Amino acid sequence: MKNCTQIEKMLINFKGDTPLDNESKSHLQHCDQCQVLYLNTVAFFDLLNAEKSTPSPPFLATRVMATLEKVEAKKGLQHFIRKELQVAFVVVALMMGVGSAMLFQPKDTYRDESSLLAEYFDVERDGLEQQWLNLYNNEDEE
Amino acid sequence: MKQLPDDNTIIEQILNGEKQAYTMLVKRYQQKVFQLCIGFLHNDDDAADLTQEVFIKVYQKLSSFKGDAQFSTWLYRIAVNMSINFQRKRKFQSLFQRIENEKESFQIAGENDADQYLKKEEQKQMVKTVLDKLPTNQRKAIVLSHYDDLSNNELAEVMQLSVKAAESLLFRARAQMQKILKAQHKM
Repeated sequence: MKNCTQIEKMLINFKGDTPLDNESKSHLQHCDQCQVLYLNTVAFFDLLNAEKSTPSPPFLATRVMATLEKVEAKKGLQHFIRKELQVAFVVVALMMGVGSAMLFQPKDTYRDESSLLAEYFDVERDGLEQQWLNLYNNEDEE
Repeated sequence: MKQLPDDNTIIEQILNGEKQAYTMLVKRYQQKVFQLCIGFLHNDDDAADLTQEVFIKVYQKLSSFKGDAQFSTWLYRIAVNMSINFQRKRKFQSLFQRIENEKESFQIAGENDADQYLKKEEQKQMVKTVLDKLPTNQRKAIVLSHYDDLSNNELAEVMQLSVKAAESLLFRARAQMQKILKAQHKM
């Protein structure tokens, strides 16, 4: 007849469908502790096998393929939108650049040096230099 | 009778643009992946959702499959990792939400089936309690070996261990499971 340690070792490799030999059977008849352990192990593997035999959901393949198509379509759309946005951003940036360049361009451009000097020293209209001088003088007066 | 193409041929077809060929792979492995997911999650709905997610991820990563190992080994490895991650995420799910979900399933089951439903849930809970007490690697070994019936060689490949190490891990897992069963009885 087997002892408790041998029964425990045997139960470690038990998978739920292993038949018991006569020696183990006679030990289990006399040892309550091993009997409980054996019954618990059998019950555990019965439950495990029942859970294992749950069938996979029907139409899983169809569902997977449908989801994949959706994911791919979404990805394609996102890629397209991203590309479009990139182009739009570049166009807007260019337009803003041109616009700002036009905005900050001085209206009166001097074609040559002489016209610039003429404006600067224009005595009749208190040329720019005189205007600045007056400005400082007025400040002093205040 | 027409013979179905092997995994590598199907993968080649998919990578060459025949996306519908993936249906064959899904049909071939859906039961095994579902069994693996249920071994970790012990919930039919969660396992079904996760199985679907696994196949979607595998499709998206198919171009990175080098063919060094068998496709099934690669697939199981992904399924195991995703199941462990799913379990971790679920631990953060509030207790309240879980109770609500269970209430809903209970109501769907109907009054007549309520007893049966409760009994089934209790039994699932017992398996879950025992398996969840195992360290992660031991749990992986038990699920792959008992739920998916993998041989020690296959288990070693999926877990990236030597065959000896896989055998030893499985033995330790079974011994630990026995300890838990013993302790449960004493409680």
